[in-house]
This record gives sequence, C-alpha cells and structure tokens, in this order.
Amino acid sequence: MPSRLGSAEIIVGLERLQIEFLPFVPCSTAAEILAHFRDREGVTAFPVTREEEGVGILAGLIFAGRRAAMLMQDTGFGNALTALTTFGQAYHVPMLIVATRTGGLGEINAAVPAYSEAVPDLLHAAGLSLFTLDARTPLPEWEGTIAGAQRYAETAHRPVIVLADLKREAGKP
Amino acid sequence: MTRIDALRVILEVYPEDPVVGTCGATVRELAGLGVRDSCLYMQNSMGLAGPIGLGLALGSDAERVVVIEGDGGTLMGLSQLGTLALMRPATLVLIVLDNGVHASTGGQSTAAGALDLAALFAVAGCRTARAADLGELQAALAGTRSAPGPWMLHVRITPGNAPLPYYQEDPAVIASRFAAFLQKR
Repeated sequence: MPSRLGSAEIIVGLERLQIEFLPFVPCSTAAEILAHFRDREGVTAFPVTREEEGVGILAGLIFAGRRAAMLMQDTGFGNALTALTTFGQAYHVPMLIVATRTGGLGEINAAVPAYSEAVPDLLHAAGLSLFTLDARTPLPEWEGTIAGAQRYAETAHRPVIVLADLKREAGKP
Repeated sequence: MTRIDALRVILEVYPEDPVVGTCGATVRELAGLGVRDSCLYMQNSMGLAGPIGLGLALGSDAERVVVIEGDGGTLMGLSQLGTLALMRPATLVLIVLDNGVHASTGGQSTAAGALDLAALFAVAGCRTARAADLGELQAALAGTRSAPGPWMLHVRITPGNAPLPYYQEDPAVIASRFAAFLQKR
C-alpha cells in the first residue's frame, strides 16, 4: 500500500486522543489510517452507511462519554450538513470529524472537483469550524492539529472538522 | 391508540432510562407529558434519532437505550439498518410509532404502508414485536425489559396530534441536561 501524505501523522494524532470508537465512511486516501485502527486493540472502528448517520452515532457515543471521532471524505458533507448543523451545532456536541480532501491538485476523479472545491466555503457558510492540512502544512504540525481540533471542539462545544488532503501530489509542480 | 397514549405507556416502563425522542409532534407530546432529564428531545434532524440511540447504546453502560421514532423518520434514517445489523447493541430498544403519515406536516402519507418495517429490522438481527393497542404495547415493552436486544417494536397508532404548543427549549440546554443525566447514572 503506498504511503499517503500525512497518514502516519493523523494516526499519531488520533492515538494521542486515545479514541475508543472510530465510525467511518471510507476514502481510498485514508486506507492506511483505517487499516491501522481496524487492527488496533481497544479501538472499535466500524463502517457507517452514510455520513449523516455517522454524525448521529458519533453524537451518541460522545453523549455516552466515550472518546470518538469520525473519518469520512469531504464529498460526504452534502449528506452530513443537516445533521451537523441542526444537531451537532444546535445541541453543542463537541465532535471531531477528520475528512479527507478530494478535488484539487492530484485528483483523479472527474466527477468531484466542482463539489470538492466548494466544500470549505460550504462549511464556512454553515458556521462550522474547520482546519486544513495539506502539502503546504509542515508534517510536524499535522499531529498537533488533530489533537488541537479535538480540544477546540470541547472548548467551543461544537463540531470541528479537519480537512486533510492526503494526496501526495497536492502542491507539487 | 393515539401517539400520546403510547408515549405515556413507554415512559411508565422506561421512567429512568435514556430516551431519544424524534422531532415534530412526537417531541411536543413527549415533552407535554413532563420534561425529563432522561429524554433527549430532538427539535429537528429527522431520521437521526435512531443513529444517536445506536451510538448511545454502543457507548453507554445503560441497561436500555430507548429510541422513539416515527415511520417517516425510520424510513429517512434507514441507512442505520446496516450498521445496526453489524454492531447489534443488545441494549437498544427502537420503538417505531407508525401512523402511516407525516402527522407533523399535515398528514401526507409515508411509504411505510408499502413495506413491513418490523420484518426489515428482523432481517437486520433485531428482536421484533408488534403492538396495535395499549395492552399489546405494554406486553411488548415488558419483553424488551426482560430479553436482550437490539429490539424493534412496531407500534400502530392513529394519525393526528395532541393539541400542544411547540417545544422550543434551547437545544444546548436539552443536551446539557441529558448529558448530566447520563453522567450521574
């Protein structure tokens, strides 16, 4: 399996949070991260069918006092926005979502650019907090951003999203 | 059986257990029976009550986690079926109050009459029971107390809503109260 940009750092970041549950909708660029946590003792990593369902499950886990995060790809925010805003935001649920970026430099799927490129604007318009990691972000900062995003979710009592572009080609000439 | 009569019986059987109540007229009637710390009253997010309850059941040590959904909300949140079949939390009790219509939006019919919701959840590994009157509901609820789940109760109710005001408490307050209830258990 080819190593993806920042995968190791995201794994370390989530490990630092000592997550117990990781619901996910998979993405090819996140395969290493998912493989790590599916084999990880003490972590229940499991697929959810749709992203809004994952938001609901993640919220339930957090209400139950468990350490949890969700992994998805950014194309799923079209599914997840209502749940994130009318429940996550409105009910002040401090949830961390790590979303892999599609579109942009290095994208191989012709169908996603129009939507993917608009994702940050869509999330901003919905009032959701987000942080971005990509090839321009020094790798030593990735791990801390994951941990910091979780802390910020708890401080702000809101969902926080980390958009992570794991395409190694991104930003290269 | 009206919705509010069914809700009253459910709360009698589950007075101190976490309950996730779906939005619209259901939450209005649920709150109308007396606001409780143990209830997560949803004001929107149709279709999300089931997944929230699923997450609660997976993460909580509560003996039972009750979800009260409608037929429309169940259909909207049907993607949970696969996850439910995969994870099968034994403490989850999903109660579907089926009146065949979107009663909160004017009584437009749902598609629930075209399929057997209980059979669908049985295929997903749930224990199921059906109730069409208050006696059957009480018996079915007793079953959910005594045998492990996940459970799905299909409850036939009449269309219509109790004449109650909107429940407009700040969602953050609802969530905070519910979280505190869970922590104290």
